[in-house]
Amino acid sequence: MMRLSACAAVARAAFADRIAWRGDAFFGAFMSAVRVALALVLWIAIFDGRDEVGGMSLPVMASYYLIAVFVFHLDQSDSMGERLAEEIRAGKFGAYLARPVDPLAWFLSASAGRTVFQAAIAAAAMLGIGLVMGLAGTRASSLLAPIEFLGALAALPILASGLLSLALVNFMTAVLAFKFQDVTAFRIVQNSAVEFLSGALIPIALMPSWAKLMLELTPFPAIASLPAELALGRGFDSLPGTAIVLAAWNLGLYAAARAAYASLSSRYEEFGS
Amino acid sequence: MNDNNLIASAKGLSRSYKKTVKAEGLGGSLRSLFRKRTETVDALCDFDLELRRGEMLGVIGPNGAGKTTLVKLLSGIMRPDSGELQVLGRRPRDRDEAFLSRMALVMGQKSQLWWDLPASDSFLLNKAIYGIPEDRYRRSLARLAGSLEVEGLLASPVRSLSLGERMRMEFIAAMLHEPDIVFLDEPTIGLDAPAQKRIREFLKRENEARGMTLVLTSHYMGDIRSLCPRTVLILEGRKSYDGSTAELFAEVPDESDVADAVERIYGGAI
Repeated sequence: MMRLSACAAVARAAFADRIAWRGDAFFGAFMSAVRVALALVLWIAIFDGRDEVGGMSLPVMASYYLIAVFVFHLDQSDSMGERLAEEIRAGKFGAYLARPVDPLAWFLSASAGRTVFQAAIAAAAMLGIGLVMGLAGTRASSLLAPIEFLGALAALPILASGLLSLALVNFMTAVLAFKFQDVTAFRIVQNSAVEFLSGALIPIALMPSWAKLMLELTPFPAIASLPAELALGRGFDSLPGTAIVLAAWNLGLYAAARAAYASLSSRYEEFGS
Repeated sequence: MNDNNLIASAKGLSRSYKKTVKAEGLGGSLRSLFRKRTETVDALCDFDLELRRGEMLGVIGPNGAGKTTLVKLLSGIMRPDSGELQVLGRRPRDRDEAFLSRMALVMGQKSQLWWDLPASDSFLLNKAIYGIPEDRYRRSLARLAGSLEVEGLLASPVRSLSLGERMRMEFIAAMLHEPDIVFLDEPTIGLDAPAQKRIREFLKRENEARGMTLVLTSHYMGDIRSLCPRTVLILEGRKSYDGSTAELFAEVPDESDVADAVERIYGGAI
């Protein structure tokens, strides 16, 4: 029910909304840089004297971790989900219902707009770190492994599919507010699970093989570990299987999100007016 | 709806809510943790209404009478429990595009504008949502901004506007697509007298120029008296009066608010 041009307009407005406060934007970039610097320090400490951990050298592990954290924080559907749940709870959801707007399309478009903003901020932070390391000399810059161009290119559609899966999950959690009002507990459980399952918390390479196999059947590695591995020139063999798994998940999650909204939104009563 | 001028009709419309009831204090909260108690409130009962094209209808009643519920049902935000309802030849609850793109809803205490962006960004978004062609959009925006005297404020973030200025922007956002019917739920709440007057004059001009139908709930007598020749009074979810505004308020001074006026007319009824 929503035109593509309208979806693009929502994404543009969501992007513009994020840069409305310059302080927030600069602080976001600064914090991304701090996160990267701290991760480097952490992995240097973990490797202390060792050549490899989990079959990865320090430069590969540090790069893997940095890319995984970078792409994991691209997701903005979590904060959009929080906002949507609050709008439902506070009786402000009528703004969507009174216009020819598809709430799911709006949600996905706004999340995409905010993700583009987040990518720009995080890229600026990475560039800053790269410059600092370059200025510090060859010893510092050798802490990171080089990125494979083709791998990075292949990682983009995988990442986009993974982010779509996560956005659909976040939408479903948010619309639970129609029934439960407060969905904070659901969100905490979901976010913790996603952080673990994506490999953003612990690299999937460090997990036992049965766990790796299980995770490969979920869409979550696509939002952190898979793009990181691909960008470092690893994991090309599993690419076709991953694409099929992601497509199946996205179709299923899309149908589930539509069904959840259709079933739960009839409970909406627009309290507070 | 056989009558060509009939824009909305409701027959036997009813809607009830479930309200959670919790005893006071910590003990009450703890008890409700294990046993949730709810009460059913009949917000609107067996409500009939016919509305014709170009009409301006005032809906009044004390707080909790069912006015806002009626507006939400008419605009499709909520679904009725029972009864028949058609607006613009459609069932509002179906939320089809043909219905939504021809109506607008303005709620005095809710905003559709993006808080941190200039209002013009929200207008551009509505242009895309309603598929308004560029030239028509420019024409509508110029006319509405001029009529509401906000041309100089379009580039200011919404958060920096006064309440009156923001409400005028809400009206522009709601009217850009030139809806056939507009539902207004207390649109002048909290506004000072000049701001209220400006909005009333604007609505009158829109009604005269485009034949726009209007359903207005308000606690301000001035809104109802100056805009709506016909008034529906709702008391405890039921229609208590449907007829001439002038006759209903013949004995009531201009400066009364609606609650006072209804109390004068109905004595201890509310």
